[in-house]
Amino acid sequence: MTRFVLRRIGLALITLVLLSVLVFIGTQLLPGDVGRRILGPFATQEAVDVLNARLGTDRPLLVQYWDWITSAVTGDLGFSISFSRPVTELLGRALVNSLKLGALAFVIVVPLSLLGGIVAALKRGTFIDRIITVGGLSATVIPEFVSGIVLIVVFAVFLGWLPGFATAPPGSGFFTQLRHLILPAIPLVLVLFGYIARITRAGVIEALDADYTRTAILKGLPRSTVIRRDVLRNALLPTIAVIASQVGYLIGGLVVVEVLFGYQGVGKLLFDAARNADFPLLASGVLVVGASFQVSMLLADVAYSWLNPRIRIS
Amino acid sequence: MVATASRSQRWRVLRRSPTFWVGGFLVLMWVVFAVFGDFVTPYEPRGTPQDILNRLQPPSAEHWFGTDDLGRDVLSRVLAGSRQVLTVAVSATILGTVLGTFIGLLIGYYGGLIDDVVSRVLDAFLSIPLVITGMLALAALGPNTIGVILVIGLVFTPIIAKTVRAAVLSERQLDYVTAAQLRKENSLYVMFVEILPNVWSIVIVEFTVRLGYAIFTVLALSFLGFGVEPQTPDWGADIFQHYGQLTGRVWWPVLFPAMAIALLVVGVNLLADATSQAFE
Repeated sequence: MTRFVLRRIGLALITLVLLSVLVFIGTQLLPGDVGRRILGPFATQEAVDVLNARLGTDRPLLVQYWDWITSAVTGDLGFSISFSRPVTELLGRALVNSLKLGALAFVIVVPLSLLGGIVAALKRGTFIDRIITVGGLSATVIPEFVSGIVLIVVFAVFLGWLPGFATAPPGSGFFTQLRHLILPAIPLVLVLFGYIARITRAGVIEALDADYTRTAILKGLPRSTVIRRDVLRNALLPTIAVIASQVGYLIGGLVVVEVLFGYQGVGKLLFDAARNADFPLLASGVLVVGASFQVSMLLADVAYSWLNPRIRIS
Repeated sequence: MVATASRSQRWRVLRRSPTFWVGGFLVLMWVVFAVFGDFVTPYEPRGTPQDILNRLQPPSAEHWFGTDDLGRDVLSRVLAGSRQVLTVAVSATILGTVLGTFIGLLIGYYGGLIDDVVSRVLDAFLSIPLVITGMLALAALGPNTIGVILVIGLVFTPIIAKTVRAAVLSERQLDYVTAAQLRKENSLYVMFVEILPNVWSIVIVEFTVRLGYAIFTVLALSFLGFGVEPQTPDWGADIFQHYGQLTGRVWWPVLFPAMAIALLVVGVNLLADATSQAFE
């Protein structure tokens, strides 16, 4: 078990180093002259040179990369050009906001999609199964901003039941914040629902067809006992890993949802950074997103192997 | 699993599937508008200078879907808008499928070190969502359509390569490959003439599934304002330009492109679902 965890951590670290190189290439090498890209074609060469000197982008690439990575490891993620604030401070605040929205989406979607997947599997081939499968597939593929717009038009503009703007006034209590986050959470729920329900359905069907289930039924155990004790216990394990792996998707979905609903989270922050060619913020932000994804995958793998004794040996 | 289903059997499965027909109809409809859009749009989708006089008109008999904030006919822009998303998404998916199949054949056939390197790079790519990779690259390159195609195509390449590789690994053990090797055929011949036709169905399924993701990403990026030249009719960009006006109850320039997107993505994914079921 310890060896498995250590190996898994090692792989995550290698992946992160590779990612940092890719991000560095994307934000320092691809733009060519970083200062020119930020200031635009009409700025004087002197101004571009001054900015490059201030950003340190006139130094050799390897020095820049080493400097960026060593500071990042110690928690200094650089200085945002467009916000004139330390990146660490900006990202910290944005992460808290995104976490609230993401957590709400998960709290809604996990029980809902597990239930949907189980019902679809138990009623395999029936009309209910088709509704859940095709409906779930359709919900998954519709972009978040499309469902988000329909929600805003119906519930915020015409019915006026819920605010169409995600940011609650400063100092609002828990329930006011929650009210503002309900509409933005639903597009994320819709996309995740189809995916998790689909994996759950597949897992339950596999367990239903397994020999141990047949044995249990032939032993004369009641169907509900078999389903609870044999089928669900085996089927829901892989689903845990799938749910955790959706954290990566969630961060991508947050970009669109946070922009649409005007919410100051990580997604909106990265969007602003990309729009304003704020490369220090963009580079560190993407690195933090990658790191959070690796951590959640790591936790999922460890939890999965801890719950499933069969995988521990390898 | 693949070798047993003949072409006619697959077609029979497809023909019986309602998913295939509904998906096919929706996709065909948008392909027709993308190709013949110029003949069916009631007004000029890019607008004319006079349009500004009747901006933000609600839906009426003259303008079924109303007009946008530059006075352009929303119906015309919705019909013409399918061309942008389909061209970009299909090009990106073709790029990724061709490169990915090529690399997948190579690493599946030779294995070893390249295999490990590609897997690690793939993991690094996949630890950031495609939308963010796209934003990063387009911030660096400046927003342009070719950039969107390249980014999505290049991110798809290792994903498709991984799938093709797995298929090639199991084919490599089979007798026909050994026979070709004993005939002293060169490796490229074995890969492309002997193995490729046998993993073809996997490539097709991969293509249809990836196309769905490509459309999703292209639309998200154009909604975020990356990759579309101004004036070009584009659903995502049109929504981005007008969604701020929803609070003023101006819903038509936003809701109609959104509906168009929903119809297209559901169509493509129903088609992909039916294809996967027929081929697997």
